[in-house]
Amino acid sequence: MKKKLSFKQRLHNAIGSQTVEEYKARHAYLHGVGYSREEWDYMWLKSKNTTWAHQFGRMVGYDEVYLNSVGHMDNMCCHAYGETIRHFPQYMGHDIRSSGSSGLHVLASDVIEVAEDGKSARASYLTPGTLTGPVGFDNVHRSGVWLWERYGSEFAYVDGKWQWFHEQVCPDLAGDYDTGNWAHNRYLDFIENDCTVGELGGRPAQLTEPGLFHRDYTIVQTVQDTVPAPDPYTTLKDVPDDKSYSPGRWDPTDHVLVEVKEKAVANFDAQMADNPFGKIREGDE
Amino acid sequence: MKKEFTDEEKVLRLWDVEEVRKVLNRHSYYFSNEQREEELDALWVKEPENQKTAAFGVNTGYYVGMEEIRKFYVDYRRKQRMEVLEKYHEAKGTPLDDEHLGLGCAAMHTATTPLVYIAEDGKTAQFQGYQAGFQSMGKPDGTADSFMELGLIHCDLIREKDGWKIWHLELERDHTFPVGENYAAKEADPSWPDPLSADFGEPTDKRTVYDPFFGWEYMFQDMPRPYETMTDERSYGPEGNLGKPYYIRDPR
Repeated sequence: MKKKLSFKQRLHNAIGSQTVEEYKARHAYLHGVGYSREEWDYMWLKSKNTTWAHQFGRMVGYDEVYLNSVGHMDNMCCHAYGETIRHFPQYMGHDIRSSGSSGLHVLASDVIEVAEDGKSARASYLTPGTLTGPVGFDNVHRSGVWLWERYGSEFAYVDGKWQWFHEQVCPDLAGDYDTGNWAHNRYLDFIENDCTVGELGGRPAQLTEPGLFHRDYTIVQTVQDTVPAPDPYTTLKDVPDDKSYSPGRWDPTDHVLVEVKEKAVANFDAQMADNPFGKIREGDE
Repeated sequence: MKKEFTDEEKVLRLWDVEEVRKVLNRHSYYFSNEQREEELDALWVKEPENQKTAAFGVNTGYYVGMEEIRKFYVDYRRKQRMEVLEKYHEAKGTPLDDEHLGLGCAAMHTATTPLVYIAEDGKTAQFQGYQAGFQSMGKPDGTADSFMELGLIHCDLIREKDGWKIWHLELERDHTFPVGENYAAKEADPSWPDPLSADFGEPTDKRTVYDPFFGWEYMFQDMPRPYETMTDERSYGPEGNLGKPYYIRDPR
């Protein structure tokens, strides 16, 4: 039964809800410019139960998330900048991480629920992302890509502050705009070119829980419900695993941890057995 | 030191954030619908001191003061739209009057992904958003020039007697591309002109406020954040830092 909250509890939860909107927007812009440190240092909870998941699986623990999302990302940004200034010396003197960026995972259709106990918040978003840039990855052309994704996000109220706890990113479809049939072209890429389901998210440097957590669109899949919009709830512990964005990792204080059977530092392998297009390309079917 | 707010103040500040978002959403509606005069009258500053320092920014500079803003945002746009109508007039005899102004034209300018902070003193607010939109200009032969438009929105708002008002609005155009063409196949050319650069007009304070070739380089520095009170440095108006390189912002 829904508990009747006091005025102070309702105010606390309203601030929590608006903080979720603030954090999601700050993240969207900082991620757009490759300023990873500036979001993970300020907004994220430093817990062993902190997780960040994508198509390729789940990073577990703040340290692993930081390694991938800051160290690995910064490394890639520096390499990309080094290549870009060979082609466009105009970029010399400009910021290594952010110059030339203008892509955004535009935020839309948010559903935010703050727990009755006021200690956590859950949110789902959809994004019609516009990944544009004056200089593309090939350093020859501009970049212009739609990237449609959905997000499930969880936040914890710890030490008097709302902090980002879990994120699950689910890419659904990408393609160059404004041309062609994105869905069909992607199918052709799967069967004719070097493209595999599960590769929309790049490659992390390290991963505790590898797996195909969400498939990008193919013409042979059924509807996926990977990050269902949150329902009103009492406390994060009570959210069922099939609704959670990080099953079992409800404790932000690290007293209750999920046992990791193999101390995995595995790299994601998109050529896994349940990948419908890997086999076709290999000529097994 | 961070200010402590009472519960009542906290409630009012939550509401202020919602009101600020609403102002920018109303701007999007008026802007999309070409109801520009109505927008200036309804949403922009009214108090004389604020009207003097009001600013409308585009990539190539600022229009400063409500008189200059009105000349650009309303009168100049009317001239642009009349040029479209003249083609219909020449081909089909369509009357050159207000009733037919805007014939064949359509636009949508959204204000997505809002990030809002209210100053600790409660007198001003800062907004950042992202515009994903389009413009389409019809022609008498039945064709149309249609473009996708993408860009950042920065806005300072100030609290007047009847609520939050737009004080400084800067629209930073990132990408304009003709629909039906593969944008990712176009050359990465630093001098590539914005196909709708005529929309920028001739700002009264000409300078590079935003260079899309370098994109969101100063996002971290420019994005809104918690702040005590408005300063020239923080402002999105002509006194502020938008478009300035780091060695001008912070000389050694």
